[in-house]
Amino acid sequence: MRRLTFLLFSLFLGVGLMYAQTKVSGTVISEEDGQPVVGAAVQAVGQATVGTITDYDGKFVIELPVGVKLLRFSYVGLEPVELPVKSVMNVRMKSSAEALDEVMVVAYGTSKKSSFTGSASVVSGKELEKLQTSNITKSLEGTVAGIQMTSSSGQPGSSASIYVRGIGSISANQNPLYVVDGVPYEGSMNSIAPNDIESMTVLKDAAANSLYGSRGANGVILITTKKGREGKARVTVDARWGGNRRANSAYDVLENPATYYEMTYESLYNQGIYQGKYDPTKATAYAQSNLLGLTVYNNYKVPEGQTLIDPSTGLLNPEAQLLYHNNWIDEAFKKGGMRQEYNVSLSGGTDKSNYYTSFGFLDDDGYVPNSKFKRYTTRMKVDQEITKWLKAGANLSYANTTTNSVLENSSQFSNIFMFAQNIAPIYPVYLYDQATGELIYDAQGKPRYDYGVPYPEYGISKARPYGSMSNPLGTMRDDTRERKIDYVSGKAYANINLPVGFTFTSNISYDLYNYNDLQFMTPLAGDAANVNGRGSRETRRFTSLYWNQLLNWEKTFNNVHTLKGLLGHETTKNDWMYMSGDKSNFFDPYNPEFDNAVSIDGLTSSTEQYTQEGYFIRGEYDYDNKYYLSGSYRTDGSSKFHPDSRWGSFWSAGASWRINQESWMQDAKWVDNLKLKVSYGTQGNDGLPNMQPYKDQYNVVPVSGQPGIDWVFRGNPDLTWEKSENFNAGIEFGFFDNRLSGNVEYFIKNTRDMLYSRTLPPSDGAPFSIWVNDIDMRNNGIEFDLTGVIIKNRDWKWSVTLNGTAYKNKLTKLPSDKDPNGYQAGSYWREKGGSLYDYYMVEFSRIDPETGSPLFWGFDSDGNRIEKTAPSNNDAVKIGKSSLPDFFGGISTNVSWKGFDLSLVGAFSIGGYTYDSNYANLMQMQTRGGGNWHKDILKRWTPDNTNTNVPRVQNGSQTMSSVTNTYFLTSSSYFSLRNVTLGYSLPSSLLNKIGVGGARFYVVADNVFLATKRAGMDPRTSLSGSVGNTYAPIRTISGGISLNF
Amino acid sequence: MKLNKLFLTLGLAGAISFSSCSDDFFDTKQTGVVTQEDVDKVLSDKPEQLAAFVRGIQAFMIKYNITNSNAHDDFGYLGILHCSDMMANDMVLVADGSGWFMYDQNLSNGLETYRRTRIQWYTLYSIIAKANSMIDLLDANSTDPTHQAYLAQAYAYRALAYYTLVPFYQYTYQPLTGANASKPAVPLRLSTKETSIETRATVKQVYEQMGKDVEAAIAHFEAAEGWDRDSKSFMNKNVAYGIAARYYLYTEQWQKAADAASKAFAGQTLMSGKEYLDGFSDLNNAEWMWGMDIDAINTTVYASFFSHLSNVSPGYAGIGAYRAISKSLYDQIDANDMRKQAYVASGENQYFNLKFGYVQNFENDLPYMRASEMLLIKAEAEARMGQNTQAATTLKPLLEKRYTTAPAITSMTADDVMLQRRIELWGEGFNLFDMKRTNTPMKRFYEGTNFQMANQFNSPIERSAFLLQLPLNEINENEALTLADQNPAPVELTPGIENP
Repeated sequence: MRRLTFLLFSLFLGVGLMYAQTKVSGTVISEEDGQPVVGAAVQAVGQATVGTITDYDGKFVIELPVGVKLLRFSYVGLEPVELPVKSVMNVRMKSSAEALDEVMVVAYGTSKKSSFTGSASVVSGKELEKLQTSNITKSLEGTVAGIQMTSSSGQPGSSASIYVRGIGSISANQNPLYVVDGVPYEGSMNSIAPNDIESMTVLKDAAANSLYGSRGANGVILITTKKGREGKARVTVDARWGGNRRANSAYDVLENPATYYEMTYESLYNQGIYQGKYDPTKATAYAQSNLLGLTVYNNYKVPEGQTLIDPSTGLLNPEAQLLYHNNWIDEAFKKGGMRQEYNVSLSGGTDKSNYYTSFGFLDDDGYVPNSKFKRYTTRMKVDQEITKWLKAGANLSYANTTTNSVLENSSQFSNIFMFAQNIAPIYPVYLYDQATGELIYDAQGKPRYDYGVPYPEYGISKARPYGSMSNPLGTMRDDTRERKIDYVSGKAYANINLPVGFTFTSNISYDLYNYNDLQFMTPLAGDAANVNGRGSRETRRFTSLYWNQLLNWEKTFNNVHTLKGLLGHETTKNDWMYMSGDKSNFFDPYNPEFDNAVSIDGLTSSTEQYTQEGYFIRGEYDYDNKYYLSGSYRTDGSSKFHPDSRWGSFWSAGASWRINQESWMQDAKWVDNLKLKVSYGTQGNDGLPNMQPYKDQYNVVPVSGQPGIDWVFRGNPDLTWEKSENFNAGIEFGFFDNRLSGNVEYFIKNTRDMLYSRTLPPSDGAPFSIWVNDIDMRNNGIEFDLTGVIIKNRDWKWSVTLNGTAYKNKLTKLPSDKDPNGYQAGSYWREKGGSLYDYYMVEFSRIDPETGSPLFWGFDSDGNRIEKTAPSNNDAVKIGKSSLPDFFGGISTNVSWKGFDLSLVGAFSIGGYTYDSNYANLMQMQTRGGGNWHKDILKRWTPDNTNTNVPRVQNGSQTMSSVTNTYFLTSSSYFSLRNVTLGYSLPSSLLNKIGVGGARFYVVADNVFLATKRAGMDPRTSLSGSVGNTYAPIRTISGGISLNF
Repeated sequence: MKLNKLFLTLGLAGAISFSSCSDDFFDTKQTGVVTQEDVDKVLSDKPEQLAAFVRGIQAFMIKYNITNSNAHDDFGYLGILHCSDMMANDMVLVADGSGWFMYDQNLSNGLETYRRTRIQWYTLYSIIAKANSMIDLLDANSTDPTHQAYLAQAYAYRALAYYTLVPFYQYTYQPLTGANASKPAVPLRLSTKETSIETRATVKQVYEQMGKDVEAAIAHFEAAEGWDRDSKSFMNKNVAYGIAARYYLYTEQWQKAADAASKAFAGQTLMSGKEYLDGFSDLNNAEWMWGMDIDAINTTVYASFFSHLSNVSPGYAGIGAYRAISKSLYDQIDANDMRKQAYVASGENQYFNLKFGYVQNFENDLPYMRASEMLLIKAEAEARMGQNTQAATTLKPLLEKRYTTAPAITSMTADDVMLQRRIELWGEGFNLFDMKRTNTPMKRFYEGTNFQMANQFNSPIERSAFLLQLPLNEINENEALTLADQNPAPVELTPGIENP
């Protein structure tokens, strides 16, 4: 597209003619797609007034005065080149997106990619822009080798958790450090507009991130925002509109009320037979007389004197007439929502200054009523060279976000994601008269929601057994859960060139977040009805002040020895202020403000602070662009630790060898890049969720209006830094004119003295745990990136990128208070050499074909393995399965043909197991609580169906789920088609007439497809193999247009 | 270039000045909590804030969610007592409703991995730990009556916590026969001034410690002459005697039980039959000796005693998981007894309790000890010593309050007193403990029973179904315990038959 723009530019550019001595002609084409570059500037080096620009076909003719040896070709978005003058010149220009890879952002500065000894992956802003995530952390799934992403929420704007090279810690922070434009970022990642991002760099090994010693142990993600480029002002506009749907289906549960009544009847009958030891007649009578008492509701009208279930068949009475039925999953998730996003930016610059300014607006409605995310962002970035030795700049941004969320990932009945899937299909969303099936309306003429409380006037004498007092669809309409954030960030820097190769840089940054939360539970119905509504407000003010001072030095000796040094110091000071209040008893049910309520239920405020300081030094040496060495050392203090254990030291060393630079490789023309690298270093982690964990802490609790104190935190003055040691060895390559390029790396990450919340014997009393430094763990594995450009010609380009990671997690030292031979930790077994998440549970054997009872493997009193119907925790064994995958990664492909472009991004994971507790809830033998069954229950054991792996149904029996057992372990392997984008760029011939530089139309779809072992189960929720009832991811399909002028 | 040097100097000077105040720099604030240093300072500047330690225990008695599972059956001391009632003869869970306490009624909630065993253990051991830290903190020889009174409460709380804890984990201590005395009970965790037993101490050891603790509590209250509680949320000397009376009754020390109950009752008054029907919600009730004041701030709303017990509240009982009196007990209540009116007499909801009422937002105060219990203890102890006439005399004031026309009873057997006890204290957490100490079998399967079918058990009481396993965490984390110390997994009872 860029070759199509800036035609008009030529009309204004003076073409200087001084001494027409040499005539040079040629063509400029873009290397990326072989298309001519229209409007590229061609300039004589050393003769500022001599120049021209290329025409429609990328051709140029220029007359050069004597003495001009070099021509400079430049174009916005392409890397400028200088070439020796020839009479006919065919120039290929590289896009600066590719060029970006050449200079990469690293810790406290930039580095040429070729000279970088560490391990890092870069994701360009172009890739990020495609994805329609409202939070950039969700963009990394499948895009970078060595990265795992889990997402416990699909709520618009919610963050994903990123794990770099395995699990770095056991109970302390496991997430990477985010650094935005050189400053550690501590706020919500949804405050950054993806369109403002130039690149994201993931630093993975010690050589890359050791300089972030204190907080780099879990990897570092550097985010660089866009800046202006030299040239004319450039305006880009991007707008997209789309629709949201729930991406992954819910579990496949019973939907037909008849089936549910039949199954409940059977479970009661079986209870009579197996528990009551009744004869069939008595069991039938028992089931008949208890069925409607158990279910409370009856969706059917049955002729007078007949029963709902025909006792002779156990099936629904054929005369029964359905009075009402609602499908919760459809009501909750099928309506969908809108998503719209607009981004405008203006950028430009001269050789001395540049600017970038942007405005963005996003409105994402999710797909569940009242779950919304709205964001306004602006950014202004300026760099100015003030004098030859002084450069300064500022970067100001403001974001305003409003999140309306619904409760999720909780076992509370107000969680619609659990409720809709687990409620039996006989309970309606709306209120119906039991006798007539008539829908009941409220005074406003809207259907009334059924809150599961007794409605004697409509024939409902008892509460709904499932989720009484709740109707999440009703409360979602009438309740408010809103969070507003104002985020203001100001950054400034100055860069001073000093004699003898020294440069002094200082960055200062002040971030301010203001959170305003409002929660309101309606007085109309539901949990808070009995107190006439309940509301809370919380305000939180968070500020982060960061300042660093960097002294750089660089010098090249004899043209081959380059030495670089960095001496630095940084400080961070974070302040939090909280205030929250709760009131109840509201007058106006639609006004959530405190002035509308009379009872104060709670009022709190508090402040917290965190400070950190570091001193660091880094040295780098390279010989003739062939051999590179680097080393760094850093010492850090954290306010989280006692003064005696406050400071930690971290260091790294790295080396690389660019084999392709060797003279003996010059003949191997097909080798463009070949580099070996190795590094080792240490980093720290102080990320535990308490600001002064070295002190004993008490809460002040109210008792009849007087203060009481409650010990809530056990301090440990010996607590200090968790340390990780990283080894990395890798090879980078580019062959056949970089048609095949990639990177293969081997890594070992040892984490020592992990910050670990040790459980104490509960007979010590509360608090039941204490933070200690204990346990060592190792993650080691291999990762690779591979990109192949399969087709590349004037019209076609097709490339495929594949990345993959395989690693093993291994405990190398157990907690010192535990049995050295291993111990049980919930449903995991922890032993030396084993992983953090090796399953330990009771093994399911089979369904007894005689009775339909589940049989489990257990031990008799002599320790022999026997089958049991009622196992206990003592029957648990090592299963030999882990929650961690064997191999995971991503695959993506880009195809372009003339103006069309198509890209697909996929992510996959192979191996590992999930304990599908949601499925366990849906596969209980009993009906208790009005819960639903998974459709697999249709394959249950019956006297006629004895060869099955699904137990009989029996009310009152909790055998299937009384212990954690292997029946519910499910393969976690998945493939997800993350994103599909199809675009078309209009030809320049058309656009030039209307003065538009470029225009592209596109259609983009996110979360297109997920293949897992069981519909409804999303193994991407956690690394530990647990699932929750979370906001399932959003599938967004949008159409968009981007224009530039 | 001079200017460059100036900048460099300034920059470096700035860098140094920014960090030169390093010590202050790390001196951060954390005001959401009170640190140990703060507590020490407060106690030296404002010694009267020592009361906050006692109130800390009071608050813990109603602490919601100690197992961190957001379970609405996890709300402290009365939740534990309610569980015990659900495991006994006299309280019927009419329908499972949202399921809270259903497995307690079903006597199938005892496995080491279940939440139930953690709730009892975590809550009561935390109260023990808090009592221990007060015993450590306070000087036993202090002449300050406040210190003596607080120390007294610490011993009383500790005695009460062990008293409540042990019956869940081991069969009952019967000193008269010596039965079960040497069985493992629970770890005996004491203050650092005393010697703890980290492994499971024997039943006898734990009960002997309780005996010392009730004596210490009384002695320290005696030494606290001049101190008076400012609210019934605090214990006083009468309450200490009441706890002692419970303890002596449980350990078959009849005379001591009668004496302690008598001293506990001194100065107390009984409420009228009409007040008995008022809802059991007010700490100001003359008969309440000890309880907890609940207000808008400390109410745990749905996760509360009255939510589960009050059929007239909008809580769990009120909307489906109704609590009823067992038919067998109801039938034994005299028609003249006003307490019979605390239950629905007929119709679909027959036997539903109306004893426990409702205050908006579940701000009902909580009853921990009532004066009538003291008379019942005294009467029972007397009857068990063969003083049946004295027993009738002891109980007469109570029966006069409860009956519209008081029966002319001149002699009461222990069984007679026990019946009165079951009627008077229904739902207040005594039934299971009484069944255990008197070796009364479970009898829920009988003609006309109102228990749900799955819960119709008949069984001797000394069965594993009436015990819990120790929480798995205790076995795992307590170095003095191994898997061999665990109670065997409870054997579930079969409904509808006589379990052997």
